[in-house]
Amino acid sequence: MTEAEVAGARERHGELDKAALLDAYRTMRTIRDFEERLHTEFATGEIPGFVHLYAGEEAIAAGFMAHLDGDDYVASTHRGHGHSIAKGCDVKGMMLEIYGKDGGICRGKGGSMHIADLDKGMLGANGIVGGGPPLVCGVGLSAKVRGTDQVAISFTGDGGANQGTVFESMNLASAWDLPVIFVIENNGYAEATAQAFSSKGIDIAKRADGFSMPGVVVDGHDFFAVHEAAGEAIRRAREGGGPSLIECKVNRYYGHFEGDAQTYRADNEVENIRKEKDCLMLFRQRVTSAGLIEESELDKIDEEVKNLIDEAVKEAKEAPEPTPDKLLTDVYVSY
Amino acid sequence: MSETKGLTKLGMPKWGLSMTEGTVVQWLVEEGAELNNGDEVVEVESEKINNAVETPSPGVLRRRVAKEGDVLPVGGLLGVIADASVTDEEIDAYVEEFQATFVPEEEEAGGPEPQTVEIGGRNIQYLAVGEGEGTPLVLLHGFGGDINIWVFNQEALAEGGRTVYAVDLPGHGGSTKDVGEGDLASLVNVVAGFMDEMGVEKAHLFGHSMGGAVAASFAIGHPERVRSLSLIASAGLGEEINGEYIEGFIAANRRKEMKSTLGLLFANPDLVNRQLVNDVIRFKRLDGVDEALRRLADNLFPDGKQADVPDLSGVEVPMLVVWGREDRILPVSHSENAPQNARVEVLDETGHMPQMEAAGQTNRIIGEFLDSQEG
Amino acid sequence: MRPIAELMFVDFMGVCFDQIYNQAAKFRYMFGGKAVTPMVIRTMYGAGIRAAAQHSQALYPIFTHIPGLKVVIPSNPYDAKGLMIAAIRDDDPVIFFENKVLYAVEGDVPEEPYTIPLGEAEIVREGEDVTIVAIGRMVSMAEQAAASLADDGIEVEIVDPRTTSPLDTDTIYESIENTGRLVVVDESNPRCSLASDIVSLVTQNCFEHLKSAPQMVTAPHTPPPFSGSLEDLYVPDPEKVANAVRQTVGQGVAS
Repeated sequence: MTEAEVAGARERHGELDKAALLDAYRTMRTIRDFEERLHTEFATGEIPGFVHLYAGEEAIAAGFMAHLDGDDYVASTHRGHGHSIAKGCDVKGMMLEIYGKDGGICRGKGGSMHIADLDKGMLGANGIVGGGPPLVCGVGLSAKVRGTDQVAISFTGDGGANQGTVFESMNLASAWDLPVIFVIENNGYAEATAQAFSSKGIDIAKRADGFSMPGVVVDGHDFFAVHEAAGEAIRRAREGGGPSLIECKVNRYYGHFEGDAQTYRADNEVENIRKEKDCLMLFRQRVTSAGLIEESELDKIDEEVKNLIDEAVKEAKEAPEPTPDKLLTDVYVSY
Repeated sequence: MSETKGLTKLGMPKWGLSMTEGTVVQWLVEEGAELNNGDEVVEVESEKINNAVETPSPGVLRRRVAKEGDVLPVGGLLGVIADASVTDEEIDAYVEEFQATFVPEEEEAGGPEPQTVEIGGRNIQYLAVGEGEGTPLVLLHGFGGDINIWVFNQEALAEGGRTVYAVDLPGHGGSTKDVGEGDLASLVNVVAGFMDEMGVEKAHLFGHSMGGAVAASFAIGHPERVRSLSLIASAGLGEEINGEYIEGFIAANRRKEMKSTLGLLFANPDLVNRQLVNDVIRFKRLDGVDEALRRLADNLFPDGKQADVPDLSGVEVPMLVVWGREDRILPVSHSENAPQNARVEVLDETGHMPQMEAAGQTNRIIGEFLDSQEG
Repeated sequence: MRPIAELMFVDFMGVCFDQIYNQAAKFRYMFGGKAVTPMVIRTMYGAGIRAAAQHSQALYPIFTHIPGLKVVIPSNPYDAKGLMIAAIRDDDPVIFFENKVLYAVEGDVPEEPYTIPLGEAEIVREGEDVTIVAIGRMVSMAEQAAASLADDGIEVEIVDPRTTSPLDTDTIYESIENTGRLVVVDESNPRCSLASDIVSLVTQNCFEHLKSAPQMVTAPHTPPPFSGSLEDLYVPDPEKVANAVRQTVGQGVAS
């Protein structure tokens, strides 16, 4: 990408023209279908290991990533599929990875919790809660030292927000004016622990005061609200204004992991949210009622995404496993 | 299965309620050997000790079907005993048919299980086997023992149509580990309370080692509740006791030490197998066991001597005394201290555990003794 | 108070490692014996459920390395209860490692409380030819290997240390004096592992009894891979154990 193209892209993302809106919808729809499909496929027993689904939270990934370019950085969580898709990771490569196949985006060695594509600025989903913020301090410092206008975003849950690494990272990023955005995806539960049991009831965003950085709360179901807040924080970071903290209040549609019986949730809790606050539904209503996009255009995207996911699952199932020699590659030495 | 006249199956025995299979350790006689009643034919490893299977009938051991090291389910074919009139072909046919049709019994779900009853604020575990009109038996184990030391006897003794109760004394087995005073009187009270709870007015009382001293004391204190008294390698018949064994048993916490300590119990220490050692070590690890054993030993066997030698001269009930000649815990000479009216049986090549080491012989002696009481 | 903390995956210990190895582990010694830290940290370890690199490690050597910590790694339900009660009653901080695959194993466990002393190995199987020291879940791999080796006339003795700190070297050395041959099966990575530690201890202290070079069966020096086909190769299995045993008796097959 030339410098002019990068600048152009950045401008276009900011103003949300029709192409950007369609992009955002496609991103959210792709994440949703990807996750819903994993939910059903996981139940068949064919998918190994732990899978944590992002369904319900798509507007956050789409809202932030709409402002980013390939050379910006994202550090994700264990619930990382949405961030990866929004950051441009290959959907089929991700699916192969989740099936543990040789052609996977990490050659089948990482799986769902470690999906990464450094060429796309995706620093990885992460098995360690609170693992992302220190990583973005690193790449943020690198961008600052090198004098680029790259930014880095870490995602953390409401549980992870209580990790020392997150506080330490916020302090360091603030002290050094790093081009970093700390996003807290507050879905109300740290695994099975409701937030009221693990912190004292003020917005996590208010912690930003203690680090002398802006902190805002946004509705994580609302793509446009997220997009606006994200745009402000990212602009600030690019311009050397230092870090921000954005808390997105949201809900997850599935358990902490696939197989979670979710006995800690109220009856109909998820159904009600799906009915009232679903991010795809809200987005569709907004753009069609404003006359920006036709229903049929969105339906077409739905169809294309469905086909993409079908193909991805089919290919993932048919793909070969890694060969035994791969056990000993990608590590500096074997004993 | 068709019966062949003059042919007897030598099957894998069921020693104890939980035994489902056994390992053939070694054959004790050659094929072709003449067998008389009571002759030991093959050594089998069970869950407790290795034990010899006795011939079920006189005859010739015609075939050793199981090989040493084989693991057979209970009821599996160890060998064939037959007289000379049976041809080799008939034996071949019998073995072939048996192996083709034998189905091991499913693990029993409904067999007797140990029960627990509360006596004087303590849980007392016991195992009741058998039923019938006959006067019940109450079996009392020795120091460090439990209901399982009667594993080779309890079912055999119940055959006459009576209930046989094996009791875990306080501090032992599955009973509460608090022994209270931990003297003979307190143990006697537990036995009396147990009989009350079971509705047993009068019983044949059996005591092994320390349990014998308890049984003897009980008979002195409650002669009206004792139909007969059987003392097996019993304490309470003299002062001497192997204090090193007592202290060694209390101290041993590792398998190796425990194996050599338990070896003292048997004329043939090789009979002590892994499972027995494991079970004893597991018992000793339970909370409260160390203290219980310490207190009992301090009360009953202080300074390597027996503190209590109950005076049995006034006890009029029929009495049986059984001892192994090679007992290394309580000397066989104590059998001579039994009252005049007692029947005394000393078993050769047997140590402190006649009911295990010479189970068949001990069961026969007891059976005859009981028959003579009830017959 | 005798707190018991559950830290889910040992892979997460990094998050609180300072409190464990610089603080808890050192209080008693640093304060001249005037402090006790009777704490138990339960944690899951081990590969085998496709949980990938940050949820599958066998990191007990790191904790075994640190003076002041005790490290318990039970291999079966009976030991787990007795060791846990001993750990709770112990006045030092104890890290209690539970192999997540072993949660599915059933076994007889007494209702009553009982303790198994920390620092007492168990001889799981007796044999004359080769000693296998196996840690945690690897005990069952060793047992399976031993059963197949017995068919070929090789009698294996299996020692389960049960705790790696303190380590019951007496039992290990005694076994080596009888067999003269050693295989250590350790699910951890090979360098600075329990396997390398035990091999070096035995070599140093039982050299005159050794009839052949000790062998280690460990995971390779890689993070745990996600893909099942690779993870199955990662964890030591009975075949690898049996091959190592054959090496020690001069029947090695080229691998």
